[in-house]
Amino acid sequence: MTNFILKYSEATEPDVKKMTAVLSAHGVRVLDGSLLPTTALVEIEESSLAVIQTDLGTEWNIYPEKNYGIPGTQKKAKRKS
Amino acid sequence: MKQQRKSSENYILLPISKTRVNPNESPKVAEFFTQLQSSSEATTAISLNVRKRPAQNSDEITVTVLDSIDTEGAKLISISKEELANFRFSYPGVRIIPERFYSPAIASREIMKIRLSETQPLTTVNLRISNAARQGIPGVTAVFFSDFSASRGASGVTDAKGQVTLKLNGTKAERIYLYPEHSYWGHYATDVTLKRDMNYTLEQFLPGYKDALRYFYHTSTWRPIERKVKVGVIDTGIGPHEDLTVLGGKNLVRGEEESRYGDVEGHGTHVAGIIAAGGHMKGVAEGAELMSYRVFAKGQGASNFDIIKAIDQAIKDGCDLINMSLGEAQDDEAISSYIKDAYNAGILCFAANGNDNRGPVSFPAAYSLAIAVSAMGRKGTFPDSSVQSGAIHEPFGTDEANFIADFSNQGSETDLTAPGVGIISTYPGNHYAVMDGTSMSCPAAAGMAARILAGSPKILDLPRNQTRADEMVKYLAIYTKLLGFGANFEGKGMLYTNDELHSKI
Repeated sequence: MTNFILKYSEATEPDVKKMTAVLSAHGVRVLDGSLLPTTALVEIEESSLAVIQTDLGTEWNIYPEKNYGIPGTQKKAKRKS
Repeated sequence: MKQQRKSSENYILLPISKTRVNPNESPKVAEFFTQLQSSSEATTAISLNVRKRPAQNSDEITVTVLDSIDTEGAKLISISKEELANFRFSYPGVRIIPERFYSPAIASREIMKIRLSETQPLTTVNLRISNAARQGIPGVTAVFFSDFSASRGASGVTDAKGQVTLKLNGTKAERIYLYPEHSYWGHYATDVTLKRDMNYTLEQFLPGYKDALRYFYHTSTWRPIERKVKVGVIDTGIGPHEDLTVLGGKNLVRGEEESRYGDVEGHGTHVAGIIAAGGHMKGVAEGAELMSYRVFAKGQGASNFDIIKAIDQAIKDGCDLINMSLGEAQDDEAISSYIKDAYNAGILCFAANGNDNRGPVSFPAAYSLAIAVSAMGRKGTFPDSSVQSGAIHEPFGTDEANFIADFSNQGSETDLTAPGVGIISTYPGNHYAVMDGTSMSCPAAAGMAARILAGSPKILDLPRNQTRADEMVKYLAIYTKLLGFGANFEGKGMLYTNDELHSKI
């Protein structure tokens, strides 16, 4: 299971019932729903990604969760001498 | 100014939202696209006006429209790379995206690098780092390189007595870097013969020291800004620090308490101090309202989901500017869609170019609606033996004491430059620390933007929509000055507030 961000891309109100039904049907778990109804962090089996995208329709985008770092300037010795 | 090479490249112009301009929503952009459309039919060069101060001579950008998708659709143009920042500041209602060419995904043969092992004697170094009073300094990160280009070496952090033991192959260190947490300048040395016992004394600094930020911006004599400008800092949290007043914020890290938006690591507190410190040390926009959006769990990276939650919260809180001293290499549509939402809510996002030693501009700085900031420094604003001396690198400016930091990323997405080498600012525990990076130049530019925009209540009072953000960008464009580094390194130059500084740069 991998974390993805589900994001509604249209200016109109999203069809939450349809979205919820698709997520339930594929056993998708909502990890953070604080930005619903337009955005949510969800846990998806990668093999189901394409079919979930198809079922949700083009008005929903699915992006991978990524990790951001603070751009540091300290030099690092990466290998043992 | 140094002669800059005028090389043209192709770019795609798009409206801020979606792929076609709506004449009812954006009449000015629609008019501009119509102008370009008529030019595309003849494929001739046209001249576009540049946003400058009324007192300055008019200037023009030459572009050639190569192709177009109808009147309201995307335009393919050719424009000099040197003019890109000028274009972005003059036409903020339009996205400008490099034309890219895709290749078939053919797997290439991997090149294996085999390094012959060297048999060298092992040297144990008992290092002690102290201050002028010979007191040991704890928490100093010592990095010794036996082979810098191969990143070979050893590192450690000093204990409560200021001591650490390092083991290196060989008898010489090509480079030595000492990074204290706070209160002292770091130390840089090359070609050092290793000994069993080595001692270094670090130089303490005072908050009133004239660093590169205060060389260009006389923060100690500036009055607090009079019009409230709200700046959201998406970082490790802010403070508490006696020089900082934080209006509010939220901890967006999943699983943590929302009310804990203070800082235990230092980065966010340093960033916030550059913007709005107002005590023993002054930021560039004392009086700006700081909002702390914590997205970094202690010692960890930040999820893009937590970052978009922070942008969303900044929009809800009515921020005017957002500072993002963070970045990664790859594009991220999840974040760019929220930066677009912020822009459409009349908010400008400033982002750090990144510190990958001249690598390409990091994301989100590289996103067309973010303001990307590179880091510059000035010789003489830090001790010769400090780690900052290792950041001196070409290109040098018209004033050859100015330089673009060796670590600063560069590229055509660069919008501005600002001081980011040897910057003194606030640090948790009511301390002060010296830090380097585009993480520091980004808030210097965002803070200056807050100060400049505070002088235009008319713009700040506009309805919160794309037009407000457009007008903010155009207004800031008036207060920029090129330093002679070239567009890929400085974009439209450095923000300034008055003619005195203008003549100084």
